[in-house]
Amino acid sequence: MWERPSNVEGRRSFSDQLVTPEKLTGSPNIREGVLEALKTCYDPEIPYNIVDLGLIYDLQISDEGYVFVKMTVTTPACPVGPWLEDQVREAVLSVPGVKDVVVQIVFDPPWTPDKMSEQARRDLGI
Amino acid sequence: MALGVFALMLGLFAGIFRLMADNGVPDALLSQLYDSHSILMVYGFIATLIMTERVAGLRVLEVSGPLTLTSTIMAPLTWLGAMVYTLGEVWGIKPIMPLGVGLMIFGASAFVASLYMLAQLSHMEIPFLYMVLSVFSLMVGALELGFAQPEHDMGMIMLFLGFPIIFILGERVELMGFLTAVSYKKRFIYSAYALTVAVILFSVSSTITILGGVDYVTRALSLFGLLPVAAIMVSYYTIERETFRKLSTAAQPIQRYVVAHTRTAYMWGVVGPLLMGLYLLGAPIGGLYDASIHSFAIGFVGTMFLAHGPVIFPAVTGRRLNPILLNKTPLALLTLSTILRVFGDLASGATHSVVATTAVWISGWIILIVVLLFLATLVRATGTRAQVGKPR
Repeated sequence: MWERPSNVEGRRSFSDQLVTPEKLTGSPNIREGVLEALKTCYDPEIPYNIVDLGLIYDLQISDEGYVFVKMTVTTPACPVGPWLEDQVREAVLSVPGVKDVVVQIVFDPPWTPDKMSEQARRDLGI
Repeated sequence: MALGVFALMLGLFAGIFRLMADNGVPDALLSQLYDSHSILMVYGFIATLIMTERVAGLRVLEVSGPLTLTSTIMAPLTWLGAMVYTLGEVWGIKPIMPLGVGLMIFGASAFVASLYMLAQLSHMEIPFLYMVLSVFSLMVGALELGFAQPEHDMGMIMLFLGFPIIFILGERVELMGFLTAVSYKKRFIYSAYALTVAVILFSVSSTITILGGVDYVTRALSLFGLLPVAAIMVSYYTIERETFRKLSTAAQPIQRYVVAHTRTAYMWGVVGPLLMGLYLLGAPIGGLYDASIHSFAIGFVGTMFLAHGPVIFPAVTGRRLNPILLNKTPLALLTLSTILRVFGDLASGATHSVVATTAVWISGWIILIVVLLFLATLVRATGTRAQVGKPR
């Protein structure tokens, strides 16, 4: 269980405060809602949602409705990064019960096509 | 970004008013400014904007101190270099021109360092290989600028154009990795090697021109350099067309907007090398050189900027975009402008007719309208600030 510290500034700061995934007991409804919300997020140039593309690496939800999303992006140091981060933030915050969200963008491990869902691979012909 | 737009407007006015001068309104100062048109457009605007968009992208990453430093100084230095060079050219202050060249090279070097560190951070070596190559093209172009003017130096012009073209192709490689099978990545590596050869050929061609070498040698070198550019344009067009054919029903408004632009850009990316190839082969058609340059610069690079502006602008300004408010009027106008320009260039080569000159002149004014219209559209479509936290 964790709370957003009152002295937190910026977007990534409270990821340090997260408990480990096994201790999380986030409401299944919120978890389902967050996943569905993430499936509405797209890279501006790829007509497939970021969940099935395999861009979401980790998703943690606390009892209190705080969400931590660890993800990668299609292009490093490109405006697509902020674009996707803003989309994810907005989508997750729209889920009832979510109080706040932290989005962390990483490149480790690097994205590979095997992270895509079966359906996405089939649709994209990969 | 504001600095880049300033350079763009200066470059555009230089180009447009020079056209007016051609129509009987002579002005020595504008003529001098026009001589720096390519430097203003490439170093002052395109390079500054591309560097700025990378900096905007960094805001979501944890970056090291050295990367913060190099990425902070690269755009201002390059822009300042272009301005100092232009100032020296326009007001005849020749001693400051090498300073401008030095600043542009320094800015480009900082960009190379930033790209290297980003490649290390992201494990995406192939796109950064393209990007570093493109900046190498920019650096060599600036270096040769220290010895000669770009006018009539095919190699130098191709180096200038090589920067945005290869950089944009590198950005597309990032995307292609998601759209194609792993085996395709080999193709991208071979393409990068081919483009490296192209940049070397353009560099050698420009050096030979500066040294007063043989014309047909520089033509042959440039011709071989153009082949991979044309091949890659066709390849990318095909991949994007196939992807969107498969997933057209799932495409979002922003994706439909972007792909309409990128596919138009690729078409100009094929027209450019074709026209330049005809010129280099000595085809008896006047104006091929100018028509080719404008196919690349307005058709390909300009359209790519329209494609990515709606992604770049919100990232730079911190505002949220509503894609529904975007429209394709700027694309239609820019395409019309490029067609008019290419037609005008080709026709004026054959005869200095009023029709040809007017077509070129109208094309220039349309570009100015496109820029203003596009900026207005972006401002309208990004009316609200991006949400950074949930209201309590």
